[in-house]
Formats: sequence, structure tokens, C-alpha cells
Amino acid sequence: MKVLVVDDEDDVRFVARISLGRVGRMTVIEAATGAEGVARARTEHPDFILLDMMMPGMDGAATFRALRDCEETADIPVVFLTAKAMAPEVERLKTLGARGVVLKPFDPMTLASDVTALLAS
Amino acid sequence: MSDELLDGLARHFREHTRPRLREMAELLDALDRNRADPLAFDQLAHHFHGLAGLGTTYGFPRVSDLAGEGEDDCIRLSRAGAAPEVADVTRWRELTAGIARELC
Repeated sequence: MKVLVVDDEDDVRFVARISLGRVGRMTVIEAATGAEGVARARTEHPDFILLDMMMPGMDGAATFRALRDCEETADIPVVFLTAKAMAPEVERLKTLGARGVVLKPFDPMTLASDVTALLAS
Repeated sequence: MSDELLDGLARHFREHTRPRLREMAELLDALDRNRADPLAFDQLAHHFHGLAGLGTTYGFPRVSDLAGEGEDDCIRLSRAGAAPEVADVTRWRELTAGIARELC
């Protein structure tokens, strides 16, 4: 399974890469901005996208809308990665088609299984 | 494998958080000079937010707690449109020092 991790924090991308790649045996691609995330989604066609909500410039919500507006990426499942305080906003995004949310801080040993469960639900 | 992986994550976090803490100290110095400095405030808030979201993940739950307190302060001030007080900056120095102690 190939996952695109979009987060402006180097340390989030690092632990997600370790967690999803080594523990979850997934192929992990990274993007540090929303715009880069949309571009990589178009070229890499990941099986799903793990998308941070709070990013400078193009935030998670704007990135999600851009992915949905692009024919090549519209059907890629998106799971949001967010702090607890942002959870109500994510609930709204789920009504627009996001698959779910993983709250930060997350458990690196269960991130892969948590995301897999959200995608299967 | 999990112990080795978690030990590796902890080492990574210690190494990568030290420069972050130095930058936070510089931002606090900037706020000491001018408590209405919006850039210093926003950057400090960003660091608290980042550490709150990472600490527990990397094996340092107390870091998430302390940074979360700083983040909550910053959110409160942002919503009020208020600049931090001297007491806020002092408290944030204490929180940052507490985070540094957790990483020793």
C-alpha cells in the first residue's frame, strides 16, 4: 500500500515514515506543503493520503478541496491528521468526504493499523 | 523490534528538539524586548503546537503536556487579540525549561 504523508513538520513526517513504513510495511511518500501534496498525489497516485490540518499557506482543508477538485486525485481516500482542538472542524470535513481523522499525538506503533481501520470502515 | 524503534525515535526527538528549544529561547528574548511582536508570538505558538503534537508520539508525554499548556495560552491570547503579559513570557520560559529537562 502506498501512502502520501502531507505535513509541514519534519518530525511528523519522520515518525510517520518510520511507523507506516517499518511497522505498517507501507510505501511512504512525503510532502511538506499542501501544494506539494496535491502535485505528488497527481504523479504518485497513492492509495491514501494522510493530511495535516494546520499548515501554513494552503492548509489541510484547502488541500482537501484541491484534491477533490482534481479528477486525478478526487477519489483518493484522505485521512486527516490533527490536534484534538481541531477535531470539530474535521467532523465537518468528513461530511464532505474525508475518510476520518487521526489525532495528534498518535501512537507510532498503531498508526498503520489505526489508518487501515479507518479506510476499511 | 518495538523497543529498538522507540529508542531510535526518542534519540531522534532529543536531537531535533534541541535547536527548536534554542529558537524558542530566542523568540522569548524577542518577546521580552517587545511583547507585541506578532512574528515572535506566532512562531512561538507554532513551536508549542508542534511539540504538543509530537512529544507523546516520540515517547515524551510530559513534553506534549507542557507544550500543550503553552499552546493553550497562545490560543487564548490570539482569540482575545491581546499581546502577552510579562507573566505569560515568564511562564513560557518555565514551560520551555521544563521541556528541556524532559529531554535530558
